[in-house]
Amino acid sequence: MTLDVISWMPEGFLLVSLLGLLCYGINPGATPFKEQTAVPLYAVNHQRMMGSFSTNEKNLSLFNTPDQNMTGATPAGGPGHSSELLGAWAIPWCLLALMLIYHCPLHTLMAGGVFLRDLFSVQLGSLLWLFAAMVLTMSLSWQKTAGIVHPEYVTLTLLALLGQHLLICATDLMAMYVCLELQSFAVVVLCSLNYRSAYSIEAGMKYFLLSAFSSCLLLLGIGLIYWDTGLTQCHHLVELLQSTQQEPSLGLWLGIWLVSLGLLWKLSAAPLHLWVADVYMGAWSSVTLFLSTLPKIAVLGFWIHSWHPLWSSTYGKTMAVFSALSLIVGALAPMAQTQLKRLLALSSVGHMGFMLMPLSAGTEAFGALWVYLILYLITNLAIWGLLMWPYHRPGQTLTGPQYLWDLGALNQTSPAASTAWAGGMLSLAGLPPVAGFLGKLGLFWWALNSHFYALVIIALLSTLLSTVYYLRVLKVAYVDAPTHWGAYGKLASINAYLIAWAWALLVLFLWHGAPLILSCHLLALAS
Amino acid sequence: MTNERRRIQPRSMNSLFFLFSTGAWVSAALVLRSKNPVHSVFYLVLTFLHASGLLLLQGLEFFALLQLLVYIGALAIMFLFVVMLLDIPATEIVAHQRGTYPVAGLLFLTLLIAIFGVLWQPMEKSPFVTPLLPEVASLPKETFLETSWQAASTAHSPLAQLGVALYGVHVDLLLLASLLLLVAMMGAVALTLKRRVHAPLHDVFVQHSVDFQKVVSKVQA
Repeated sequence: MTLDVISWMPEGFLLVSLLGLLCYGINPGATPFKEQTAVPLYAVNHQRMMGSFSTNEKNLSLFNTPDQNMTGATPAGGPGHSSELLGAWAIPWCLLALMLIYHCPLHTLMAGGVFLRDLFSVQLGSLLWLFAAMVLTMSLSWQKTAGIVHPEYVTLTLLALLGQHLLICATDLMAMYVCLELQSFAVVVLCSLNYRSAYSIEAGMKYFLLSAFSSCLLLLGIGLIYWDTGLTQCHHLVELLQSTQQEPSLGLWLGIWLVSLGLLWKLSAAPLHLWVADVYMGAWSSVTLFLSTLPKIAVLGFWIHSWHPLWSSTYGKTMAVFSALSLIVGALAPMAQTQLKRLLALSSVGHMGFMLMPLSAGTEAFGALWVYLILYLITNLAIWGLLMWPYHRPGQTLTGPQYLWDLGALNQTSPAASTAWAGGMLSLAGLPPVAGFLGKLGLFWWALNSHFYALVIIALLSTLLSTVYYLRVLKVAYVDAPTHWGAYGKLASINAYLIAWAWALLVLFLWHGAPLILSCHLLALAS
Repeated sequence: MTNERRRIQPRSMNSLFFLFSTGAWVSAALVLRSKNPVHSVFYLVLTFLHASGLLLLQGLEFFALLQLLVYIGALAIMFLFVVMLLDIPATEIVAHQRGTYPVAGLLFLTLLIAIFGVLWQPMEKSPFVTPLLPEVASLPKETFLETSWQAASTAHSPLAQLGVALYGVHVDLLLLASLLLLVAMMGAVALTLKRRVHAPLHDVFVQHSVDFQKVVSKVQA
């Protein structure tokens, strides 16, 4: 009994402390002063608002925005802003979770036997929580700029993180489904929380409907597997497959196919990538940073921890088809994009294609996958941090840079920003002085070792074509004469630090990559 | 529960099956035919009740109760709420139904083919064997329980065993499912509870009909 409690102590702490955060982290406690910042209410009819001032809002008339919008009494930032308060609490929560999980003394099956804490899930879970702390840090300032007033934003993020952490530990199909749905639903609500923007509502609706459809297929697959075998534990299914190689069973194989399709949909692999552009564009940039990085860690972690033997003993090399399609889509689709978020979304499909290459190559290649993933995470942190830079466009609300031409003459206005963009774009393109090349090097090495020559040729062509649109961003920033002007606001200092550190890591890791490669090799050996 | 109490006469079993299945068909047809959407939901409830009876005949008492609780108690009530919120005039429903006849005809054809395939098995060995009439679910007169686990598997009712499995062995999955419901509740409130002035009404049709090229040129100008 005591050992049971010790085995799920980190998750128990997470649940209890989440409850505490919900009770005490939303209303600010004793504050020495009340911040008199105003929340400008955009996209509101002026006529309706004219005659309806109330007394406590009149006091804030000194701080009105110039176009005389109605102001609310709720503060937009600081300790009085409940969402930012909870977000500030969430960062040490993530770091505490990181320490608890990294130093958990007992590596064993938890509770009912569907979750396994071993070296792999501890290491990858540590990466998840560390990166989540950085994502939340980056999002703190964006809550002020984008006017996020819901504390549910942070609560849903934390619940999604819990689901993702448990997904990495999952070894059973039931556990996988529940954790996947938990983090999906939380992300769906996060995508659509910005109800003032039609794009955001569209993003939430599309993500919800498509994820519900793919979860239906996933559940059908689980049902078929259970109908055929009576088993849901992945290890048992692997043993069953190994001993029934001669007579493959339709229900089991179809079930494995459908479950894999559901997982690949979450990873946004082509041809299941169609939701990516609209969802990444519509949601707040902080949500998109969360959505483009952390679910990928979780689902790839589950795949390699539990699911890969099942896939490779049934469909094995078919992953190369998904990988090739994703590479082609990632090469061609962003060419036509002028919206930065859509460009990054479709290019993330291409990166997923790269990440699926080792999944078709075999178990030795997983170290290369983790290297690529970690470099992709660092690059994403930098790029989305740069997108979370307040940008004033005349006549429009304060958001980040939206279109390609918003980065015009960036080298003249802010050389540091253009250097950061250059580092990020070159890393995404995978060009040599920056660390993205290290990730691609590992992947190509292992793909060639496993004789996937056609896939490597497609990957090289995809790299070549994607370099075009990545360098186009740099061309707009460095070379082109700007066609339209906008003014950048003040970037939050912690964001600037994180972007600078990410840039420094990207520049260093190609030349001093041994620690990264060795720790990823350890992670691959542990799976 | 002794074996004697559980033995049901085959003849009454068949007539109960005919009653429940015919009732389910009739209720389903009435769902489609009624002009008032609230009446449709009521007939849906009747369909669920008949389905629950069929499940009882199969010997699945927990499933039957769960059907009543979940399908009628939660789903049908939700349908009722949605129907009452939408306020659909009856003439609109009838007008829209005419266009769906071709699709409905196609689906009906597919259903006929499926029923044919189920009842007259064209292949020699098929995993989907379904008799036309159900076999009577009767327990054998004496079951010789050899091992201790065979005795244990029939010692408790399925309901008790399900309780042990759900609240004992897999309580972690139960807690995760409850967190899932928490997300759903929080999401519903966070997305909809606000004053109308804070949320502009979006005309989705207009938004979908917007030409993207024109929008882009507008921003650049």
